[in-house]
Parts: sequence; structure tokens; C-alpha cells
Amino acid sequence: MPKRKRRSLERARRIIHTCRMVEERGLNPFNVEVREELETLDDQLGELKSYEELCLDVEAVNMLTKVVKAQKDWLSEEASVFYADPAFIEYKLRKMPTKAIVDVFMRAWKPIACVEEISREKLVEAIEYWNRLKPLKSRWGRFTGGYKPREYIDLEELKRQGIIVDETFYSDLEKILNELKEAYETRRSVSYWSFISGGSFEETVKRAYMLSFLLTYGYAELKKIPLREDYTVAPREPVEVKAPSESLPISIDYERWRELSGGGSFG
Amino acid sequence: MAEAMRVKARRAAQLLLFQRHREPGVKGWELKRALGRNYLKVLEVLDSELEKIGLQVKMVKPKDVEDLDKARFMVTVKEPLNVGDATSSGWRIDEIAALAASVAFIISKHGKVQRRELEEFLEEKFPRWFVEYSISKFIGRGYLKRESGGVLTLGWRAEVEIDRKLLLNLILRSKSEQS
Repeated sequence: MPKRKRRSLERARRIIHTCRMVEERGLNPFNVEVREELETLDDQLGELKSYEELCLDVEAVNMLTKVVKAQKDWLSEEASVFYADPAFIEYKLRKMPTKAIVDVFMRAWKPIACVEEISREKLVEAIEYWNRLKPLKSRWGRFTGGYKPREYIDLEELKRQGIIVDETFYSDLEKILNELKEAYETRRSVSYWSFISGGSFEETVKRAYMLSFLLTYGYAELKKIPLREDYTVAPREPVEVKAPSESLPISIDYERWRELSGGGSFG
Repeated sequence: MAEAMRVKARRAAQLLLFQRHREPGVKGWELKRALGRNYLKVLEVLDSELEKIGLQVKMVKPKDVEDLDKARFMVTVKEPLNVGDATSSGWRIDEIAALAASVAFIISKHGKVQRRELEEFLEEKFPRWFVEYSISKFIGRGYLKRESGGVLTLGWRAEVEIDRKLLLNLILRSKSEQS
């Protein structure tokens, strides 16, 4: 990739990162020079050709619009409290005795009044419910086939129920890693959804589950594809990361799997 | 007052005062369903009745939403309580102080603060275990709201119950420990 283009992409990523910090951490949005950043994006637009590069540019513009909104909120906030210097408020708070803080707060605090007692109507409903309710033994019996005396459960049964794992878990993990390496060597860019997609919904969930372990242990990495609900997944050598880990929930439901696989059956 | 209106105002008081959900208050659409289309008029009548006993009807609209059906209505006290009233309703004085300091600290930081930053601020005056317990309690009660990235903002209850402008003015006008 030419150096000039690489620099343009880095600039777009930097803008996205800075805007995200403002959005998530509540930093002063006026620290972002919106006009300057928009001009930068405008200047470098001609260098961006591929779909992914253009998406990155659009995401940067989108994040800048969020900063403009944050600037508006910031000004409204300052106007609503008759702009008082935050550092001065903090200083006063640190110096105020606890009792004085309480006294001040009590003058500005008007708590909600609500009754937490049960009403007569609810009490009647509750009594009717109690009268209709069958004893626990008969209700549980329907699902479990009655009471069974307690007994020990053996290792094989625990494995069968998936409560504990045996060596096959690690061999499966290795198998998924090898598959990922193979896919990466042939395609270089492996889509998360296409990788986890299996012949059945159960298999898809299992592949996503196994992949999550590879990601946690650092054997694979995930990168968001801008403006798409997808990620690229790539194998890597595990490295010791000192920064705090982040979790990324990706939900998989049956409908999503059907879309991916173009129909199919459960299980 | 017409009898029909009196009945509706009584019904509105029941709806607003008896806690129906985990969070107190009733949504506009629930009141409309129970009281009819003129539910705002009924609330006005109820408000004037409640005023006599030191209470008021308050409305909170979600940010950037104009639709009153989505607003939450509740009853709050009209005049400030004294510390004794609050402590007798289950608040410890150090909890009130921690809540006051947390709310003021967040307002001073433009409504967003890292949880760690708030903890460090409170730990100047309270032990660590108490700070952690209090922040969790304030989140649970709706005074603070947990956002992504370990950020805390003011919760819905702080918006309803606390007069932010007044709180800041009183803090700025107060005498500090050393002065």
C-alpha cells in the first residue's frame, strides 16, 4: 500500500478513535477541531478507492457529527448550571465538611413519594393465587417424574451433560484453530460469520463458542468491518497483553443463522 | 369539582403512589389507558390536591422525546426534607453525603465521569468498601447510571429528585472547611 494512502487511512482511524473517546469517556468535545478534521477528510477523499476505505471515511464523518452533537449538549449543560467552573466546584466539594454537603443536598433533594405496601386489591389477588396453587410436590412431579432419592453422579454422566469437559474440548479447539489458519492462508480475509457458519444451528453456535476461546486465549484476533455487522477473524501468535481485556458480545440467533445458511433445520 | 373528576383523581393517586413496577412512576400511555384522553387535566387536579399535603406530581421526559405518552409521571415531596426525615426513612447520613458528593461531582464533570475517578474522589473521605457499596446502591436506586467504558452518568431518579442548579449554587456559596 502506498505510504500516502496508508497515512490517510491512519488519519481516518485516529479521528474515529478520538471521537469515540469523547463519546464514551465524556471528554471535552471542543478539544476536537471538527472543521479541521473535516477538511482533512475532504482532502484525502480522492486517495480512498476501495469499499472498505470509503466506509472508514464515512464512519469518521459520522463520528464527527456525533462530536458536534456532544458540543451542543456540552453548551446546554453549561447553560443549565449557569456555567460554573468545574474545577472550582470540585475544589469546593473536596474542602466542604461532610455535614455541610448533606445540609446543602437536603435543600436541593425532593425524593419520590411512593407506597410500597400491598394494596387491598393485590392482597385479594394474592389469596386467590395461593388457593389455586397446587402443592410443590405435585407440580415438580409433572416435570421430573416424581421425587428421586439423592445419589452420586459419575464422571461420564457429568461429561455427557457438558458440566465438565475432557480432552476432546482441547482437540476441538485445535481443530478450529487449524481450520482458521487454513482459511486465512487461502483467503487472507476471513469473515467471522462465514467462518462460524456450520451445517446446523447447533454446529454454528459450537463453532462461535470455540472461536471465542481462541480469541480469549489470544490465538486469534477480531477486527470490525466498518459499517457492516461483520468482523474479520485472523489467527495470530499468542502474546501476553498487559492492557485490560475487553469483551465483545455477538449474539447468534436462529433467524440470523438461517439467513447465513440460506435456510436449514434446527439441531 | 365534578364527581367523575374526583373519582379519576383518586384513581390517578393510586396509580402514582402505589409502586407498580421496579421503578416508581407510571408512563403517560398507562395513565391515558386508565384515566382517558384528558389524563393531563386529571393530573393537574391531583397536583392541586396533593399540594395541600406537601406533595406534587412531576413528569420526566426521556431525552430528545416530546411524546408525553413516553414520559414518566410520579409524585415527589414539594418542600425539602430535613436530615432527620431522610435518616428515619432508611438513609444513613454518610450515604446521603456520598450521594450528594457523587451527584455534584458528576455535574461538575459535565454529566460523565469514570467510575474509578469518582471512587478516588469519595475515598478521600470514606473507606473503600463503603464507596464501592454506595456507588452500587446509587446505581441500583437509579441515582447513577452505568454507561459503557466504565463511565457513570446521572440516572433518571437524580433527574427527578435533585434540583441540580440549586445544588451547584448552594455548593458554590457554601463555606469550605479551611475558610
